Amino acid sequence: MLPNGHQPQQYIPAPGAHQTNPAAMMNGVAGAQSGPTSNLNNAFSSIGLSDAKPVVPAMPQFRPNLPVFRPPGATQPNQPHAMQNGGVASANPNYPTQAHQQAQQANQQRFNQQPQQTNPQPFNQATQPIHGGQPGTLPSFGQPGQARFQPSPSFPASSSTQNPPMASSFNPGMASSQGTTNSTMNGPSMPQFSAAQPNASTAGQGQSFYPPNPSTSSFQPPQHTFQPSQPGMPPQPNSFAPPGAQGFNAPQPGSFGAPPQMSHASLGGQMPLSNGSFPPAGSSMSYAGGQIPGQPPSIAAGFPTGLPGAPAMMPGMGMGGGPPGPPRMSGMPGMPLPPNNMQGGLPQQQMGQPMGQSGYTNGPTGMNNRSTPALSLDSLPSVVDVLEKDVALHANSYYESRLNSVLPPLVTSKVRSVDYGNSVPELLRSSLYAAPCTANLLKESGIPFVLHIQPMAELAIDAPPIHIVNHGEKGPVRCNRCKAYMSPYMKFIDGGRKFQCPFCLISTDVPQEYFAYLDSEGRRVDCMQRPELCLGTYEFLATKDYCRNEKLPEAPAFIFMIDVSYRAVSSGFTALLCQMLRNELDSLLPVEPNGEESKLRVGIATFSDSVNFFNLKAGLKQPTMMTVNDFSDMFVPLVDGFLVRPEESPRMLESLLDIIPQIFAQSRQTDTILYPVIQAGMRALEAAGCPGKLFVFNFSLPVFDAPGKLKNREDRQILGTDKEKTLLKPQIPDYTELAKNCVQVGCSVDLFLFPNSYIDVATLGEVSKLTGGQVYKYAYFQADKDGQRFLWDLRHNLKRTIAFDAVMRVRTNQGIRPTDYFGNMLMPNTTEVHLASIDSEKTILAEIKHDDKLEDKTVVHVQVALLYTSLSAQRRVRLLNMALMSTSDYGEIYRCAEGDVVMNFMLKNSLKGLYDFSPAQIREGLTERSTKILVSYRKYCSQNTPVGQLVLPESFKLLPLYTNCLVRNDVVSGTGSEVGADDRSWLMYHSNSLGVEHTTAFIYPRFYVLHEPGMDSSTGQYRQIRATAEKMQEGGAYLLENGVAMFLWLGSRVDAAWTEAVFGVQSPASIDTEKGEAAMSASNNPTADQLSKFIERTRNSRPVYVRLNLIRQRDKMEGWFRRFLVEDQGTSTYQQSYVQYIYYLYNAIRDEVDK
Amino acid sequence: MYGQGPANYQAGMAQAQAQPQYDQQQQQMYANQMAQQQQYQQQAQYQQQQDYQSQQAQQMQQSQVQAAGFMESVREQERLDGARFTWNSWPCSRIEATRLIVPFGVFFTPLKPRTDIPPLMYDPVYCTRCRGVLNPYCQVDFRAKTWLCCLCTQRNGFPPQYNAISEQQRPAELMPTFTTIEYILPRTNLMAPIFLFVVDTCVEEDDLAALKESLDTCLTALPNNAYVGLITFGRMVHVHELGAEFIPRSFVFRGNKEMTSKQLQDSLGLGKFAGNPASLSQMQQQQKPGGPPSHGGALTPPNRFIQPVEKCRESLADVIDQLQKDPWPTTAGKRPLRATGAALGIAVSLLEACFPNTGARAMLFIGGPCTQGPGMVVGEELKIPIRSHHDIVKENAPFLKKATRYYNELAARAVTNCHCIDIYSCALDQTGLLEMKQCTSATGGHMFLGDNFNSALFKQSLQVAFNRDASGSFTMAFNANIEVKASKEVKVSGCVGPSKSLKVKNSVVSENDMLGTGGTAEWKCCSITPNTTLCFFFEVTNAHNSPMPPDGRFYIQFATGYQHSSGQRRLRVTTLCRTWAEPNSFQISSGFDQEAAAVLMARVAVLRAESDEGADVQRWLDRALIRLCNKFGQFQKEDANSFQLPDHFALYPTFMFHLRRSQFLQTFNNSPDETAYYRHCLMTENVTNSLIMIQPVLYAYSFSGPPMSVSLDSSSLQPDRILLLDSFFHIVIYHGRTIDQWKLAGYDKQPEYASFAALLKAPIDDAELILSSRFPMPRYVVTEEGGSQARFLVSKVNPSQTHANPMYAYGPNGAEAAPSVLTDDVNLQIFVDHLKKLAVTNPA
Repeated sequence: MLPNGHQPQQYIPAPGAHQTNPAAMMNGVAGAQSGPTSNLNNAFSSIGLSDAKPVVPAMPQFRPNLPVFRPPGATQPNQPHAMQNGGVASANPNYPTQAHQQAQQANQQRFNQQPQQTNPQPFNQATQPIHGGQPGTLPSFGQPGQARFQPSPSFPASSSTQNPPMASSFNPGMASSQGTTNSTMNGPSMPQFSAAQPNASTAGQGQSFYPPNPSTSSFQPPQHTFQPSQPGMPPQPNSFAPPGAQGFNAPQPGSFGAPPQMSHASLGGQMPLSNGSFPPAGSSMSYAGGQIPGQPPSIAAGFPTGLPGAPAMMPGMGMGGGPPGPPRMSGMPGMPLPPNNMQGGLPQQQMGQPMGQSGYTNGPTGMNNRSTPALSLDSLPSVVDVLEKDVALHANSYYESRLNSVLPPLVTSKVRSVDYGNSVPELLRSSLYAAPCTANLLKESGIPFVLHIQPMAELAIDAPPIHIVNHGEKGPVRCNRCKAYMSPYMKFIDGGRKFQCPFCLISTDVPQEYFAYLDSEGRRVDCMQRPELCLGTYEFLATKDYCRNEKLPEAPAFIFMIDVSYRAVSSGFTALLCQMLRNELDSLLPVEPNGEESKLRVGIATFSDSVNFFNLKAGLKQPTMMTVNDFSDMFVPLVDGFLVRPEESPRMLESLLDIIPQIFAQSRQTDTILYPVIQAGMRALEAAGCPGKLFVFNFSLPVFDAPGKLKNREDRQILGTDKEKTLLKPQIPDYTELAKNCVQVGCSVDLFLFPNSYIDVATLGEVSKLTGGQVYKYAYFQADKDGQRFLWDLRHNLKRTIAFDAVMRVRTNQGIRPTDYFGNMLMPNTTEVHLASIDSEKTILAEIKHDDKLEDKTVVHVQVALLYTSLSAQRRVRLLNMALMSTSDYGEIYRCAEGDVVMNFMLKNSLKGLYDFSPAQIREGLTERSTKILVSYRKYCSQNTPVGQLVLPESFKLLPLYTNCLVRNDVVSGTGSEVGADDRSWLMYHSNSLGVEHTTAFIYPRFYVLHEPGMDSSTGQYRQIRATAEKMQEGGAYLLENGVAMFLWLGSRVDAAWTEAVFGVQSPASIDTEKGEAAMSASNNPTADQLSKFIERTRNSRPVYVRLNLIRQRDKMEGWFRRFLVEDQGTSTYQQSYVQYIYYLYNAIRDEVDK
Repeated sequence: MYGQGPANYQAGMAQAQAQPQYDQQQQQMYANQMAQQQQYQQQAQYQQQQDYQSQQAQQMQQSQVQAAGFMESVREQERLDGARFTWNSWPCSRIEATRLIVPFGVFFTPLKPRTDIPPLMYDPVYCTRCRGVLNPYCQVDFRAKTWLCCLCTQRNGFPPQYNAISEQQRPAELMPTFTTIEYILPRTNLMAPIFLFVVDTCVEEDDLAALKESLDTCLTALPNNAYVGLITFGRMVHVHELGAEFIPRSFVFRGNKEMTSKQLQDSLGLGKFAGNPASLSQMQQQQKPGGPPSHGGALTPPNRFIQPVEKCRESLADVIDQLQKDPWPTTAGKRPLRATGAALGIAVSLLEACFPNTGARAMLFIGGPCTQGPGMVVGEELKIPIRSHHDIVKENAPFLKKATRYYNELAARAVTNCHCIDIYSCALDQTGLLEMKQCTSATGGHMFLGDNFNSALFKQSLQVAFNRDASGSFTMAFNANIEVKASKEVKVSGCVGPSKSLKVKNSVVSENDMLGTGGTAEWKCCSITPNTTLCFFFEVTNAHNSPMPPDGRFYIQFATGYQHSSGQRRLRVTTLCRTWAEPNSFQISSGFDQEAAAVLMARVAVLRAESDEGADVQRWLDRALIRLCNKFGQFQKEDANSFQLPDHFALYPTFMFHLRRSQFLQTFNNSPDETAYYRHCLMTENVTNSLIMIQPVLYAYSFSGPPMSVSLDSSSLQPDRILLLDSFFHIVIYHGRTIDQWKLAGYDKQPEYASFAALLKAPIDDAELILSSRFPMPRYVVTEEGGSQARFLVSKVNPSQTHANPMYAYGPNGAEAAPSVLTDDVNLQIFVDHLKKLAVTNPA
């Protein structure tokens, strides 16, 4: 490593942790891992290197860290890097000098208490060598990061040489080849694999099943088998046989998609796996997987259990029996999912096998056409691994957020971030940490350039608070022309008398009171004293000019609009809510992080076919009720006594909440209103001159004859068809208009819906969506059963940090600009994002496009300014700054891409699209985009890779998986048989504001093994496994969670002791699954304790209460649960298994490349 | 005369008892009435006293009037029948009639308190032809048991129950003294009166507190069976639910929006039976056809907003107690938003929905102008003042027309449903009475104008409004229909007073020349008080060539059906008889009632002033006066000095002089609201009171003699006198300079000067006497010479001494000269001089 010397105080991550293998990672190509040589050869790698330099620039001293890309795997750095780093370090003259950095450090110290920093020593050189050996081995799936997985040491030599280029590539076929070696392996069950033969597992399976093939597949199978040499490293499931050898062979491509012919035949015969072959209760098979050594995982995906009758689809190629267009066909352009076409046992079998082999088959032999590669699931990149590696990578480390190209850690890794001039990733993330210079570059890459902005995100408890800067009466210092706010990237010139704005390059006079001299390096002498000159995130105190009507805002208010119609009352809701508010409201109101007293006011109103306001003015004998039922132009009867601070008239509030249930106990009203209710709340806030939030609790479709009256238009049949958009769009524009008006007055609306039947979430949800609110939905609500869930949500909602009446604006350098925004907000014009409120869990995406080109290797600045009203009624501007390097190099772009943000964007972009396009088109679009990304990578970064290889950049290792998950996700594809129109709309609204942390889980559920004793009991964590039935055992208990639902699945043979501990009964059969979580006995034992704590912890990390559903194996409900096993094949044609999708994608890519 | 009445009546009763059909009923009646007999007598005495007192002033004033005998008979007629004619003898042809200048008018006070007439508890007997009611003027053939209708000369048979009548046994309605008689109509539903308070909450805290107190007082004053409701308003309109469980509740409506009655009903859930909308429409169908007053109340659905007092007294008191000042903040430089118009609209709609065709009062209490929504009279900006007379003339009152139209519509709706609207306006600035005046004048409601709710003026006025008669019933009555019938040569051509036409056209109705509301023979007054006086105009239609026989008689009958505050439906029938006279005969001129004529001219002038310009009205008045003088005066042509008026006309020019100067015609120094208020009172009050308004009464108290009435002249302002001015709206006690100095010196506190204290007290006692019974309560002012409040007096007196004619500046004692009045107005002397000159030169 370079002279690390400088990193004086850097905190040293555990050595293992940074794996910086820059090179490797940069390439994103598997190849990287391969030995040095390979690197050289590898175009990518080289590119990577070159790129690296610019990136690094930031501060040489810190440099060491820089290279750390968020390598998923922990371990190995590639040898080369060191070198590279060195090189890099030297580069960049432009960037801040050391001095500067030091300054920054100083700052940091000031603002962040930093642990002592030590030089994180990036890579262990020692380890590197190991890799060298197997370049090829790398799991093709590219983790460039592969470094981490080390290829098995065992095969170093051979592979390395051969595959250099393709290392990254993914060669599905490969797996099988290795099978031989692995054959020993059995058990799909993960654990076993782990140490010994990670890859093997996949391979193994393949093999076992298709013994013959392996042989055929002659190519250097071995490589894959890298064993995780690294101690502690989980096996690399991903590893694929490096196509290496074959790579060269022309047919390579085939390796993936087009397996050699041979495969068919032989396999076909042998394959026991055809669906048919599965026992009727397929489940047993799959679970039992472990026992059946040979099981081909890929196929298993079919997940027979769920649908006994259904023909299992073969993974790969749709091609039916051998003849026709084997692999290729699948790739048929235009055809989204050819693979599925095949139905019926036989063909599949054939297919299946071919696939297995294909990988192995050498190009030479094989006609690509024919064979289908067989893929083992385990050979594919796994979310679980990626997450684990990222955690391991950052263990004991922290992330420095500054101008550099280091990808931030994954959100799941909970790494502490420190603000070194760029906002921490919790607040601001980008999909690209290197800004492409030209529109073309960006467009070609297919990667969206997106900012993921979560401006009010809850920071770690020990994180330093965000500093509030007061520039006095004149307000914050800003650029004269573009109005950008003072930031660390403003350049002071002319002896400090002027500053030049990095956005528009115009210089502005420094106000007299803000003047400071510059030091010898041209920095202001006070830059360390001023947060806005050294931090990425800080706040300005705004003046009257920044307020509505130039009047400082009144304290914000929460208004509770309580449904008191017959259903609300009879379900016990009204009483429940009133009691809760009575007892807890005081303690639940959010407070400012800095502890200032909350001045929030509260108002209470009820409604059914009229709206009742309550006058709580202190001094009255008792509260009084005012009823309004003139809805033509709703209004509020009073403001003064309506909004009160709870502590001012506590007795009134309490007595009111006591009597509300009584007053309406006899309510018989079933037809209710809603629009006027929201309007009333809005008017109340307007009249009070304060921003605020409405909590609207509504039980039924508003059919009462009043504005906003809705019709029941549910038609489940059309969900999932071209016509579904009519159902997903609002049926009348009124609510949308209302929402716009709400935003005008800073009124945010949270809807709590409790439908028993269709309630038209699509229409109602608009209000919340546009006002920065949230929609909750509790079907068939009964207070005794669902009360907890609702209360949890409400408490959680109330407690969140929240900002009101906000306007957000994103400023960027000239040449690029934010064009599209996604999230719960309103855009009255093209530049301002209006947020009636934004809480800590809401995310806004801003997609950035070029309107000109950027200079290469310059710094690109982004400044997000959020003007808002705080809980303490202060008007403030929160600034988030980010600086990125521009690049014109594809490799760099891919290297610096944040896959999770990209997925977040793809999800939200799809949501938007659903209003205009059919779900099929959306799915196609998603696949196309993924294809595009991979194709471009292929084209520009790994040209040398054999055509037949699937090459996955490190950043997008999981792209195929995620894309597939998204495609099959209910939010995009839910049909009437699976979800109702309301559920669908709710999902859409719900996911529209989610941040990456939640979308990743939403797209790919978290799946935990519960029954293994002693798992990580120290942390209370359970082991996570892939979401596939293949990994499940009949004797096990699993927990699946995606942020929306949680399932506890109990195998039919689950350990009695475990059920006893958790449920207090011996057998799963005697558990009352209806009771859900309540069935879990409160018995005080470690097992139950750990589980319940785990559930609670998981739940607490989500924005909405995740209800636990108990599913017994072979219960009716199991089908529902199965739909969340996203790596398996589902019931619909678009629910392909992971393997199938990979094949499909592979073909698509190849087709593209061939063009 | 008195003594006989009851006796005869008993006889009649005894006879009626013979009718088996009525046995039961009448026995009871008889018992009741026996018991009442005594009361009547007592009351009669009491009433006499009262009358005496109120007449005392009148008499003093009239001391100079020669024909005291004539006036007495006029007053007696008024006392008996509540009617005064401008001309007591009418010329017998149409042409002659038109030459009399002052129209034929009858001031009729339908509810003239009569304690001496016993109510009859049976239906009246109607003429089969003209529906005239049997009365003492009818010729009865006791043998044939038939009667001849005096109005149309139709011969009618008596109904069977009258079989027993004879000369000796007459039913009460045939007693000669009972030209006014009252029937309590059996078989009608009792409907207790309904009171709906409509209360402005945009007032200052202490004002509101006072208002709340007054409301409480009202509430206590209401009998248990009365219905009551509460609407409050500020920026919004709150309709309070009474007796709500758990929590006081109100329904709130926008203040800036006009609601239709239907919307209101839907909103309040009125007329819904158990939430079944179908029954609502049924209800409405039932009610509409059933329109006539008969059963209105019985069918109305129960509702939560207007309830019997007994059911909600406490909760309502609670609600009133908890009333808060309108919570909406008022920004500086703006008026509070006040939705008077919307609130009144809702009140009208609410009553309409709940109690159509049933007597009800909506009592509106306002503390400022309506500033938003329907009926808005002024904008929110304080810098733009509310319209003045000047603005109106210049058509610079942007809200005037629209608001007036709105309130007129409300008034019309209220009238249709027999509901009356009272307006109690208490504010220093105007509140829009001008725009709202139709609400009171068309419905017979009260109008009150005061400064704030925290004044005795308001509090006592309100109490007076709830006055009760000797039997404990409110003196106010509801839902009155006044039907006019007359001999065939006489047609009714209109009515001026707080009433609305019912548009009943029949043979009594004049075809031409309408005055006031005409074209009908029936009028409706939604509320009448004992003082309510309507002025009906008549026309003689007899052709010149077939004159009526002189000394012949003609008859006019008023049949007033009304809802007594006890809930009974009553019918009061007054039959008047006057004689025809030869044209130009002494009979005609001696039958001239100059007081009635003055008031009538005042009413007509005011009516004209509503539409015409002030100067035109004045010219019209002058011309009428000149012509009258010219016609009835005695003079030698062109010789002003020879001019003399007959006794019956002597005071008329003076009345006209004061009328011309009065606030009714002079808008200077009055706001449009005040003008509207004064005019309203003039149009409502009886002749006596109206005359006081036109020409205030001035009494002098001094050591030099007993209290006496003195002329309303600046020369009456003597230093050693205490003056008591009663201008109806104001009671001013004015201490002359000397008196004032004595008082300042504290002589009245010294025992040896007890007489001085007594002197000081005398006018106060008299003032209190007046104050106690008058509605609206006059403003009570005690002032002294040179005091700022002395203007109330000074502006009223005839400016015989002004700065312009200093010769009057010195009184008899030189130094103790009365203060001169600073004005450019002409004084009476000059006025009369001019009048004479014109009268003698003007060729009629």
